[in-house]
Amino acid sequence: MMNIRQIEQLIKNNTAVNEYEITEITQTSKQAYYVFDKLETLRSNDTTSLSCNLYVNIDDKKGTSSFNVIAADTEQTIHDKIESTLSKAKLALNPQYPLTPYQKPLDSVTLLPVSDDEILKNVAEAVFRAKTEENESLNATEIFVDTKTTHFINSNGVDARYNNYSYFIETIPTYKGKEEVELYYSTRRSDLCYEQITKDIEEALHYVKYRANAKKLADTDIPSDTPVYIKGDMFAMFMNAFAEELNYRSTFYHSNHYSVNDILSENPFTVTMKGMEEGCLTGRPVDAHGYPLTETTIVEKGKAVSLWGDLKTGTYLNQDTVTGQYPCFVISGYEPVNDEYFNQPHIEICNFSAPQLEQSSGYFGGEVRLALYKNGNTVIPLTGFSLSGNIFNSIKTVRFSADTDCSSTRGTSYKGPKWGIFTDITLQK
Amino acid sequence: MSLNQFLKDRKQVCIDLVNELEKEYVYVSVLGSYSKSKKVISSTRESAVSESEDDCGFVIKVYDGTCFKEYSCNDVAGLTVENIKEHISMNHYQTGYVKVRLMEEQPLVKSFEREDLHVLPDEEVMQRLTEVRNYLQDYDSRIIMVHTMYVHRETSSVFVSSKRVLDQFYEWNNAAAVAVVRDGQTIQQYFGTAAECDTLLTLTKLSSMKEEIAEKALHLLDATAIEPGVYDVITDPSISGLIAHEAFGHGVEMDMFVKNRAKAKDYVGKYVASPVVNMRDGAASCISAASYFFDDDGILAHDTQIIKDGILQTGISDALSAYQLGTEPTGNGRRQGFDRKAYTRMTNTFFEPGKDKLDDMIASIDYGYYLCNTDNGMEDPKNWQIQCTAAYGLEIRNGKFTGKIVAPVVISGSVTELLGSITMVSDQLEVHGMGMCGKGCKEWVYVADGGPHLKARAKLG
Repeated sequence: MMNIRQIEQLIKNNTAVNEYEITEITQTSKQAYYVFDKLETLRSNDTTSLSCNLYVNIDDKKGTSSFNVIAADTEQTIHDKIESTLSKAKLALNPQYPLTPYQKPLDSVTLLPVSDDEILKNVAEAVFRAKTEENESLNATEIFVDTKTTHFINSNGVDARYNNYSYFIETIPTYKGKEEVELYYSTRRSDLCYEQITKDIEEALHYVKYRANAKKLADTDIPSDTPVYIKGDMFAMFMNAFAEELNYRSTFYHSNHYSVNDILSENPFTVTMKGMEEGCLTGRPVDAHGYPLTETTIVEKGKAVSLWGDLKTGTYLNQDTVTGQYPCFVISGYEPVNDEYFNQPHIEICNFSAPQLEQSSGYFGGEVRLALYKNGNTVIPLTGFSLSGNIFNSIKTVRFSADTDCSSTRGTSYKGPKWGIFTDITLQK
Repeated sequence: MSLNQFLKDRKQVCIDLVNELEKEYVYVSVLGSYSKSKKVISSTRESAVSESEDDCGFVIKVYDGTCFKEYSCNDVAGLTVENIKEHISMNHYQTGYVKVRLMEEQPLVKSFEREDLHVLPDEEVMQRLTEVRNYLQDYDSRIIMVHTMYVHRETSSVFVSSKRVLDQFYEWNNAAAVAVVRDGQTIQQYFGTAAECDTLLTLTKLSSMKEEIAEKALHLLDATAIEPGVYDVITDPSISGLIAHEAFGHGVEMDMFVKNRAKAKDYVGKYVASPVVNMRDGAASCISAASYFFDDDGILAHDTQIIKDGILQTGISDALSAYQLGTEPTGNGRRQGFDRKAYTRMTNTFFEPGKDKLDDMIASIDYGYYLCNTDNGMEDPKNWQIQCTAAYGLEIRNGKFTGKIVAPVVISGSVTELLGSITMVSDQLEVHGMGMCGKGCKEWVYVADGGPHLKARAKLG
């Protein structure tokens, strides 16, 4: 396949191209798939993708379109693709905005500490090392070890190269009681703490045993106004909704409920958008358009103080300083609840069927597969009920735990309190 | 348009590679895939025309008597058996291997093709989208943003094994218009979609919906939250399709049978729904978003009857699951891309039509809701729990719409209770080819689903 510099030269040869961006992504992946504890499939990927955005300036407008390079491409086919892409770019003209200006070249590629298939083996061993009690098992385990190197260049001389590696574990802890029940468990991480993997899987097995003995909420006399504590993806999704509210795009598309200086919450928390943050797997030094990322505080003491987002939309909104599109958000500065909160009657949501959040109306909720009702030393596992709420109401009163968590889903990483404590959620038995 | 030239050029390389690898492995196949999508966007704030070759590469699959091994790469030209062995010889952990019984492959050499019937130039596509956009923008000042989009997708693949040399080319179009409405701090959105193997028809259908999109979006500004409870409901074809997909689509994926993760495994031949319910899945069951000619295992497309008169007939299967279960694969082996594993996946999944008239169904409701516009869903095949979200519901009292709208509406509860409660099935079938489906939290593939209107009793929240 032609490399990034060869493609750049072919683009430069076409004088009708005013500006360009080229992104080359090289990925390797080693994967193992198990049925119960038996190996079913081993996979190995070694791929490169190369995509090019071309820009044409027509009067005071800018047109853009893109093409990919594939292994079959020759100089002639690339030439044809450039011509075809330019034609498309001229059909979709938008107001002008700049591409990322020249930056000092960046090369932050680091090598894996050990080979990827060694990590694959070690992670699998750590997963299956988890102690299973009678009637407990792991099923449908999949382990991926992924490396990804991104090289971005543009016509202003930006040249940034960086990499990420991570491993992904998906497994189904199963418990055979009166009926066989299961829960879904997945995690993506980059640390090589194999003991922690084993410990986390053992906790997941512990949860599935709870599910096997769980009662339907409707079969209990637990009051429906019991405070609900939410963690994990659902809570990260809840907090991320407010970061999205303050993205330039929300304002640009008029879909925002908040503007700068609006009070989001009585809770004096701070939201900081960051390019890189320890433990955040989506972290990177530049965004998808090569814009250098540092950090920006967008919520301070519960009040919106700044917008954030990409260079194009930031330019359209006449922002003095554009931040770039951050991949990580960090919640800090809040007054955490004391330990007493965890001794009071409450319901901890351990596993959702499908957490949902609808940004425009603010609806959030989902079917709960496992929750634990806790009251002092009493623990009652619950299942088979749903909950719902409205993010714009809940954010006003939500409280946070002192212990923290870090998770990466859907291209964004969250770092902040592990538990959100909600008092205005509707439980449906 | 026809089979991608790159795949054509590499077909003989794939055949040679299979011949070489067969000397060392019990099973060998090579799949080459290529997909290209063109996207045209006309929105209030910005427009775009772009083309991307999303998936272009090869996967070599071998079985050495222990486990299956795959190597995915951009190109097979120049690859040697030694190169491949180097990539698939991985350090790995195992306490044993799954047992498989390879199926005798029937020899087949064939090419398949399905073209877009009316292709339009990019300029005309943009013009038609912009007309829809302008109509919606001018309809009411509360419509603050309109986003219209057209996506043309072409897919080529080549499959080579010891007895099969297959290639296919097919196209599909999706179009959508989204209207975002705002009244003070209340923001809602409504979208209309059209999906056909015909660009002209797709865009004509989208255009015909523009008034409905505007009206529905504005109506949503009045939406309130539903009072949670159990109601009589009528599902529109998109919600019927979502239920089909979540209930006995995921529930009968036979890779879940292999892993003992689907309760349906023990219910083949038993009632799982009311006797008025019939359901099918298959790439050959209709022409829609997931209508291919052969799957990523080289198995020809099927039309599988999953439920007949309320009784579960069979599941759907990829080749590897069939090898483990000792059953016949049903052409449901699909990969997200050449660099992902094949799993059992749904294709076009739908309830079959019945004999009832929609008006009679609405008239039969004392108090309930007409649930519309699929949003998303989730299933639990092991414990038969389901969750389906409708964008909105319209209240029905005494057989008539009251004008009250609730949004969004989440259906949840037991799969068999929901399907067992179906008492009426309308006489019209609609299959919607706009969706994507994941497995766990990954492995996204294009799917279609649909059905007639259904009358059922459901837990709503």
